[in-house]
Amino acid sequence: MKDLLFGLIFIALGLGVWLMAREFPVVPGMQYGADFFPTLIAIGMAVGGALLSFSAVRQLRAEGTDGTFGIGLPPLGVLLPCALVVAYIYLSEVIGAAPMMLLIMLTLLIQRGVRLMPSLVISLVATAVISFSFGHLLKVPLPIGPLGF
Amino acid sequence: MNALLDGILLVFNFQTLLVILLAALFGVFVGAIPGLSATMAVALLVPITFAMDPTAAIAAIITTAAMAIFAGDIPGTYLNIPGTPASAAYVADSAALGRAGRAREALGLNLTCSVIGGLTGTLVLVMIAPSLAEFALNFSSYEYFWLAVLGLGSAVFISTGSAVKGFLSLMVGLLLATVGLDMVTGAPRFTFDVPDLMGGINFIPVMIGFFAMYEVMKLYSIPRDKTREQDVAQTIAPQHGSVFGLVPTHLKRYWKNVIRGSSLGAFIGALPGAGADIAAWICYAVSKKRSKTPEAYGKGHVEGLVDAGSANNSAVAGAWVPALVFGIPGDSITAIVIGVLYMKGMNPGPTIFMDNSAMAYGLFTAFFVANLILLPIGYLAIRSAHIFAVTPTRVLMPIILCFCIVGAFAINNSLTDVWIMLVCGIAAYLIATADFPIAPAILGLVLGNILETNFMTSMIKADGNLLAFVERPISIGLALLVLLVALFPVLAKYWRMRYPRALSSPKEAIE
Repeated sequence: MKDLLFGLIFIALGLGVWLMAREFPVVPGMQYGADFFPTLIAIGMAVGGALLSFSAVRQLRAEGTDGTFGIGLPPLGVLLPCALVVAYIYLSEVIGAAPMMLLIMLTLLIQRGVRLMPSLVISLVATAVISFSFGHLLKVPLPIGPLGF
Repeated sequence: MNALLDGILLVFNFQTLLVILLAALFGVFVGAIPGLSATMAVALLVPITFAMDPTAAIAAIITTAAMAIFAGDIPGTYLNIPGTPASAAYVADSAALGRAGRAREALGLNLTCSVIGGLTGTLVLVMIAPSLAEFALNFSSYEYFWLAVLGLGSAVFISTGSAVKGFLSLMVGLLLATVGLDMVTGAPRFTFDVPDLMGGINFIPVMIGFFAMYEVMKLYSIPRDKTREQDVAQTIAPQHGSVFGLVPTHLKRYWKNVIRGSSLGAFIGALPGAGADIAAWICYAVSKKRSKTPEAYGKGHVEGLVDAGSANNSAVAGAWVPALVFGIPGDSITAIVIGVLYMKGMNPGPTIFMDNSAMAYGLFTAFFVANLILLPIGYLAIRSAHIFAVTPTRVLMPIILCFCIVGAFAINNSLTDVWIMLVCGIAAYLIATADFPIAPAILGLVLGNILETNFMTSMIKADGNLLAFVERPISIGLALLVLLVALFPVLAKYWRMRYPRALSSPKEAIE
């Protein structure tokens, strides 16, 4: 069932890419312009998607649907690391990279049921190591917050 | 003879040897951290080498690259996250061995193969560099195009499971490669008016997203109470056995694979544009296709490890052939190296062996020393890798996420790369839950630009005549090779139908 869904997604993606590629400027006198490769990729995606959905439908026919469609929503926990990365992107320049990393690690550790004290120690040590190795040894300009680190 | 002695003396002094030792430790550190590639290690090293004398600077780069390529196998084996792109080809096998408690054995074998591969690559560099480079000089955009096609073809073969899914995954990678300004017309493609995307999508954040971020998300997709039970199974299985104990047995059995992987790896590395990662992919595909037990690949089989593990290290040395003799980079690392060579007054080109023979011999010596120091430092790294084993993943993953963020940011000091890392992580999570292989997407991204640029260049040269791709002797040879690879599944099926007994011996499959 998932295969059918992904097949359809790829067909849609192929169509979208094809539509966008048609907008690319054409250089007169050249057989192959900027749109050539994206168009090929679009065709590849659409054909591959069609093959995938076709075999999924055939499989469904053979086995019969079990009624549930088998596409459960992804578990909510998976959104937590993503949300924290977004939070880092927006907040690191306000409160600093190191406090933000500390926060990310604390949240993730506690969510997984690590007790508070070990979480705090692990986060503090890891933040210090990452900040020092990247910020000082590798000279990456990590954003510095109002606290000075 | 005098130049040879001078060259050796340039390396065997306290200062240079100390630099090599420090570079080896640095290489382990960067290579073993997922998301930090050997190329990034070299790029980070360049500012430090400004202050060194030429031989020491080059030796530092060589050692770091060799070490990082091997060290990339360590997180690959313990955590299923390749530390460098060059380890991605066989990460499924090494991770399966790690889960079975055979991580030390796998890494010991990998280390030995890396050293043999590195030494073989060096021998190729020293012995047949001029003639091989001369051959590669005959290559034009037509041949590069076929080479890229060959690489992409093998991407679909390596993927375990459905070929359609492998193909679609490849398309995703190729699509990502088209982002940015078009090389021929200068038109922006799929940039959505984001200035940072004009230059194209950086490979490293994608890699971090696809392999590292995805692993973090996978852990957090399991409900919390389930991880507690799973923690026992999720954590790295207890490792036993010695590092080198079983190496002679494996080498005795697969010595042909070592030779094949090392020589093919050095050859692929010597081809411009193809580096350690492509060498590993192609050698793994060749090994799988040539093996008696292809079905065991990807499930913890050592044979592919032997081939690809030797290949990626020999490619590191092989990549220096065109870089030194013609100034054409063999891979991204040597692209940086060429810049360093110019800065140090060691202009690459055919005359380098006449003008700067002592330094050239010094460079060769540095290669031998760097590959030999791999053995003790690599051994220490494997023994201390149990840090990974005693740390449960629920503790490791938050730290890895922070490394991902900072690592993605560090390449261009740009938050756009962090976004790319995030989006690729989510995409990898979504397609992997539907059993799509991720590896072809990575290869599509790496080779997409090479493929398109060379196609466009060829078509401009040939005025749109597609037949030009098969008119040159070398290009038609490569084209036939591509055809052979494409027909391989059909031929293999026919072969199996005709000789059903040649299918496999079950004893090896179990191993």
